[in-house]
Amino acid sequence: MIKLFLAITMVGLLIPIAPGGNPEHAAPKRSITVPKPDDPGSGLPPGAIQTQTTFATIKITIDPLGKPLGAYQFQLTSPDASFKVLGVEGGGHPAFDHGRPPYFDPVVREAGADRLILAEYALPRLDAEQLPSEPVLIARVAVLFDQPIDADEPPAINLLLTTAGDADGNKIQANLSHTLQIPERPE
Amino acid sequence: MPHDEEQFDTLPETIVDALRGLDGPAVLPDAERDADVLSGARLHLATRPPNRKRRNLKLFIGGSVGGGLAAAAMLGVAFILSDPNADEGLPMADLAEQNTLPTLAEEAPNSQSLTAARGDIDGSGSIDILDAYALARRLEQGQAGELDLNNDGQTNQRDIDWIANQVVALNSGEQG
Amino acid sequence: MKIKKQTPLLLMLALLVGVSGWLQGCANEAREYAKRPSALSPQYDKSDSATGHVQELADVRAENRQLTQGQKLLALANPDDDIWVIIKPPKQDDPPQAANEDDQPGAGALVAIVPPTQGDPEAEPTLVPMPLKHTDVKASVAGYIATVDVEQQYHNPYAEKIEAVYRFPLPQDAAVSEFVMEVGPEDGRRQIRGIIREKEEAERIYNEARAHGLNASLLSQVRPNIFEQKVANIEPGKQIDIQVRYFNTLSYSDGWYAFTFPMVVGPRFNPPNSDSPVHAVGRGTNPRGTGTTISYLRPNERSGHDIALTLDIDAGVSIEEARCLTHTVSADNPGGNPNQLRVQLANHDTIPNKDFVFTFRVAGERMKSGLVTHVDEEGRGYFTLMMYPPADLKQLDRQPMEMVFVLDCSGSMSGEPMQQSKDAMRQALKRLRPADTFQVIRFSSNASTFGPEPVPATPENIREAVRYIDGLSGQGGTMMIEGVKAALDFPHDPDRYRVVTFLTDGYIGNEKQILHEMDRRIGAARVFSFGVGSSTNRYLLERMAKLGRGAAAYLLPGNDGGEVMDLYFDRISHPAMTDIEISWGAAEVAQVYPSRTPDLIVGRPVILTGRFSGELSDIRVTGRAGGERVSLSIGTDETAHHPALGQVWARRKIADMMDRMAMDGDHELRPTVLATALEYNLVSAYTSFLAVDASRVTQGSHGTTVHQALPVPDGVRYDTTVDE
Repeated sequence: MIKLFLAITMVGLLIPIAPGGNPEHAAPKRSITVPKPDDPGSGLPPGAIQTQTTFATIKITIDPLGKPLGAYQFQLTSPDASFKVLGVEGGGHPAFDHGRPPYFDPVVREAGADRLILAEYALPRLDAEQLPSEPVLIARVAVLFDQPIDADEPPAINLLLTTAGDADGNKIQANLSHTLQIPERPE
Repeated sequence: MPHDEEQFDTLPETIVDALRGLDGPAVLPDAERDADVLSGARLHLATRPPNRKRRNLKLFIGGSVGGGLAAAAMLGVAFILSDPNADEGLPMADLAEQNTLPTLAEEAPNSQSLTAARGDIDGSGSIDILDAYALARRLEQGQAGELDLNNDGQTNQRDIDWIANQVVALNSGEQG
Repeated sequence: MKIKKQTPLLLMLALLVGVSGWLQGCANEAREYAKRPSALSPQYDKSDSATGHVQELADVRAENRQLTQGQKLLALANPDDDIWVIIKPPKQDDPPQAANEDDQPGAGALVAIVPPTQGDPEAEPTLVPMPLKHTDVKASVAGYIATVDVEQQYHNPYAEKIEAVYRFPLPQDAAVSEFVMEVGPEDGRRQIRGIIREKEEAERIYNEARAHGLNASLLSQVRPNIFEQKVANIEPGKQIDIQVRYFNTLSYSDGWYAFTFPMVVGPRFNPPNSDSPVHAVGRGTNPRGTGTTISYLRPNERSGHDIALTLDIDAGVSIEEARCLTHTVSADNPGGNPNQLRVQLANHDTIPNKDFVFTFRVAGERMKSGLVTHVDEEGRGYFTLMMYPPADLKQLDRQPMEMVFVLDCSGSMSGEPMQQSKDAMRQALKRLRPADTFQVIRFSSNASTFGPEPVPATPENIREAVRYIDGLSGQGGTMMIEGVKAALDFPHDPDRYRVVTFLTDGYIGNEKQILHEMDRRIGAARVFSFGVGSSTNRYLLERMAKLGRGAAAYLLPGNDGGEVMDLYFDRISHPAMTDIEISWGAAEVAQVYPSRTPDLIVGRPVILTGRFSGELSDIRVTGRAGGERVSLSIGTDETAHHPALGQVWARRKIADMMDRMAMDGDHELRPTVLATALEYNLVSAYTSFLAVDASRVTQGSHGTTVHQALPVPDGVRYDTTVDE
């Protein structure tokens, strides 16, 4: 019976795609894209402001709990896949300033959602005394939320610390936190 | 190949004269007029009713394709409902994949595949940013030795990048 | 497999499905037909009976005043009609005004005209400098793979915010894989690394960011060798730097490796039916609605945008000789290592209106090993193999040739390019033997031939041909498609080795159509393309040569056409190794590009790029040469490595798929192209780099869009190629 059901389903699926007319007047095919976008693209005319989305910067801070921070690695996701990553920069602390942004995979899209793994190490010439042991801003991630942001109920953001190390490369405990900054229009 | 003039014998003289004149002084196309004619042509040709004979032909072709699809559906359904335990019946050739490229074999043990040993600078049993940091410190102190991870014949910043890029790659299996 | 008794029922069911589908298709068509909008007349949906047609004409005439001239003309035509549009210059027209004194880019400041503010019709437009302040190029070559970092500095000299748009060339095989936007370098440098996204999505997000007043940048590919950089909301007096990195392989010819950095996009001619034209317009002219628009400086203008270039070469073997034929450079040997060279563009030679080409020759004529490999972090193996043809091919006698010359006689070829091409052709004709045959085809707005068919290379015929060539000149459009058809449409003589040589600058906008037509007609012919001029369309020329299993060569300004042709003729007149098959030894190899292996010609190696696993050694090449089966071993005694091979390979794969899509006309490979570009972080026809600074909104409205103008390539006449 199951097989019969499958068979009927299969032939039923053929009905909408059976040709029979002038192909020039068929409905235009939707182009196939990989990965499948989760929202349709639509260009905006210059000057238009899309009120359904919000640009923001996620500022990520790490607290090495009093130990000199030598390296960190963490993951950033949105549980409801509600943001798109638009750019990544470092936190600006001189101990981690290699003249380039932190390491991350620029192809951020995976299974329909953006995911970031960020990692960086301190300048190897620095001693432990020169490394931050207090909470320090380590990364700024520009994102686009596909919804207006309610200040009282900010969207959920997941931060997962993979590892952190001290000046000698030994693993240490550390806490990650973040703030969400939405740029304000100047007066 | 015939000379270009022969193909123009059947055209009106005015056109032939004008075409001959093209080999004279340069005539730059009027781009605006050109675009104007093109847009008009496209609009005109796109909205002309199709030739009836062509329509009939297309209907016929469409019907034939529909019939072919129906036959394919019959075969597919028959396959689904077939008895796999039968030892007699019509043979069905295996579908061969078109334009198959040779697939790569699994990595040989002595190949350069990623293992826990390669890139695990600090010997922690896993590869993460701390290994990149360890290699960076060793390089800074001149103690990197033979840690040519990317097989370019040198041990330098590129090897550090090799580790770091690997740990942040989304398809590395990193789950945080 | 056993078929059951239900089969007849199933057959009936399936036929019912087919018929219902067909009926539904007819219903769809009827619905679409009823909905079709009127084009020229409200009654346009009448049948195409004579009555209906007359009714259409009547309606059209009634509406004539509202129609453009083109639409009026076409209202009288049927779909099966040929439309000839012949434009004669009005008698009192003057030629377009060009330079005051000469037609070369000269001294002067590059300015842009900012329209007067709306609401103030009396206000005069203002003249301000253009936003691209400087380009800094740092290139390094390891073996024959180049890593190039390009930094573009955009500065806003206006009193209000601007968006800068800059279209610029990169090598046609460039794998663009890094993108960093640097904001506020003057008050605390912040570097934002960009993200690779699907093109439409990236464009949409960029537009949104721009509308929100954020600093944003978008790098897209508009053609395989033309890229577009947009930078939004550059505030008055501020600067934003864009850093791009790409990888590509050096070319090799007759013992010389060549590093090329293109600096100018040549103006293109677009046949009237181009589906993706490239428009050349004078600076200040509005961009066209379709295709790609490049704006050019007028001859009495000079770009204030200078360029600095540094090239570090590590050849792996001793560099014997080096030269730069296009620019003045300084070269030294840091550390005294004979394998290395540092080259810098001289300060005074900074007008970026010609491609930078630097060549060098190594000891022993070639690098020790042409094999470069890399295994990435995920264990995937990539290789690039430069196969050098064996020197003893020269000893074999050649078979009679059928030589077809196809000369571009369009306006952009006038001047030195035409003269060089004629010199080259005259020299080639002298090298032919009586057993050979030849044909000469010229094309500009149309095509014509020297003779109705190829003629024997007798002394009288060659004299006649030389007279014919001497009478040719560069004028008119570039209907290259006509040249392609003329060269490949006539029957091939099976006893002769047909060689088709194109001499052109490739300044056309319908590359896809050209390649498609070539692919349909190529048969057993071999195609060689000569790029003539300072900034040729290398993408087209390389693709043509690849399709034709030949090679591309370039005649730069100042080159002696006869000498270059002599070298080229030495190569093509000896039998190449054809019908090549490669045995890879113990390794497993897959996805090798180009998928169609070219012939091995003396002096011109073949570069193959592919994936592998196992040990790459004992590589053997087998083919035909001089009528015999020949086998040779490719030495891999010392294998070089390069970490960017993954991107280089992916770029080749994408190019191969795009070529197939262009020639076959289908788009089924699009998802694969997109997936490859995303996986390897490459800009492609379907992916773009995007970076946004979401930390602050800039002051003012979203500002004015300013298109960066380019200088016309050195040696090209402005008045014959740029539309005013």
